[in-house]
Amino acid sequence: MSITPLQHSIGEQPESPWSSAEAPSATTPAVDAAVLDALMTEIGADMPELREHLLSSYLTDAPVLVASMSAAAALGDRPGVAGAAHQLRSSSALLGASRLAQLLAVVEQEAKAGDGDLPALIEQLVIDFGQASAEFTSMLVAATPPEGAGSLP
Amino acid sequence: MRILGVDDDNVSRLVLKAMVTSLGHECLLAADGVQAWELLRRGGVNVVITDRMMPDMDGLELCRRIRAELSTGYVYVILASVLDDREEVREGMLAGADDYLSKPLQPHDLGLRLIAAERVSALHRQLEHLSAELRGLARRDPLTGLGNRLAMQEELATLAQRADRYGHQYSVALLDLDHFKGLNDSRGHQAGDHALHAVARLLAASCRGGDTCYRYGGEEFLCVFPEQSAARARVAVSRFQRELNALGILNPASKHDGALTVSAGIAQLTPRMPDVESLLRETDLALYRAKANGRNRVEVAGEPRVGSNPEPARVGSVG
Repeated sequence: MSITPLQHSIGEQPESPWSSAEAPSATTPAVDAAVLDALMTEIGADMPELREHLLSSYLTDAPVLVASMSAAAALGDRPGVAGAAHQLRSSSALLGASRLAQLLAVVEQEAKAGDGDLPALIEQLVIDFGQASAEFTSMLVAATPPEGAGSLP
Repeated sequence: MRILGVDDDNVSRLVLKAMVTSLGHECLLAADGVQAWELLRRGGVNVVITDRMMPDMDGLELCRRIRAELSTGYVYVILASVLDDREEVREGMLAGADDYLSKPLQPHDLGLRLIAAERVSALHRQLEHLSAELRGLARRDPLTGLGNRLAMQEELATLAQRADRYGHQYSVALLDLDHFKGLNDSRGHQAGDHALHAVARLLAASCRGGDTCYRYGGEEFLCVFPEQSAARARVAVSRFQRELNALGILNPASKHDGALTVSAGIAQLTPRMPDVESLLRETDLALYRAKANGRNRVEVAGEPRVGSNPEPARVGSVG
């Protein structure tokens, strides 16, 4: 299965949130930390352990979903892609990775509709996920109290 | 309330639980429809908040199953759906959801939906309570407290099915108070009502576990003896007759020392008597014979006349 170059694919899909004018760049943060802060505030209780639990759960589950999505796309298993995209989309949106969530919505829609260039979308997804994942990891590290006497470098 | 959150995504589940708990409710979690169904069958869940897309049993299938099969009381279902899929929401509502929420869930919205859920759940509980009460009232005779004709018909239909399917036998006895009109005429209807009440109490006390008594109509009572032959039923009814005689309810119209007596006809379900109507007809004919043969006696359908009755047959009018 050949992989269409990403820019080509994006150019053909004006309805996607990725028109070339606003294509994500490495300098734009993938995660809006304020979303998770707002969620924590709205839930009300001061629950730092819940925040950590959410981040670490996401960082544990999401890579598996991304991998299964890639595998499903390679096998042409569109329902498999849609299911994993749907699942990852909710948690990504909840924790503030809204750009990733939007891309996952596109993936889910196209997987269900049976058209669109899934492999190209998933290639972009892997890049976006990598960035979001790195930012979530930093948030988790920042949230975790340093162990022992030493502080983080 | 006890709320069940169903989502295949771990983070979504954790967030849902934190939200529900912060709103002061108890939260159970399930990772898919199958797990959710197992929890629901145990009862006690008031509200289900379910994702639409899940492996194995999805949210729609769960909704349908809750509406079609769940017998543990009304469960309010909220479908959590992505904002941009209006058709999905419509399908969910048609499948049996009461409401929907857009994902990602917002605690404020969830709190509002749960206000409605609590109100609707309370109304359903009230409705279930009232309908159970009404069901009971519709099957009870208010004067005697015994089951009425509707309750009797339901039990006989059940027994007939069992007899048909498993070959179980049963007998019924139709009892009619002798000269009851005379009692009403001489002592007044209030005294008649008291007599009916007393007879019903005695009958209920005299019935063994598993046997049931109904007020068939006016001054007639019907006793059902599951798994018992007509001979066994005769023993039970004769015992009741003796107890009634001993009670000595005054009936000036009685030919029996002025005491209220009862006549009875008994029939047993047999293969040549395939339905409840035939059984009741036979019972009725046997009762007619008991009346015609002098009252205060028991006759069994299809049995030759034997001298086992408390008094010899007498010629008299039926009533």
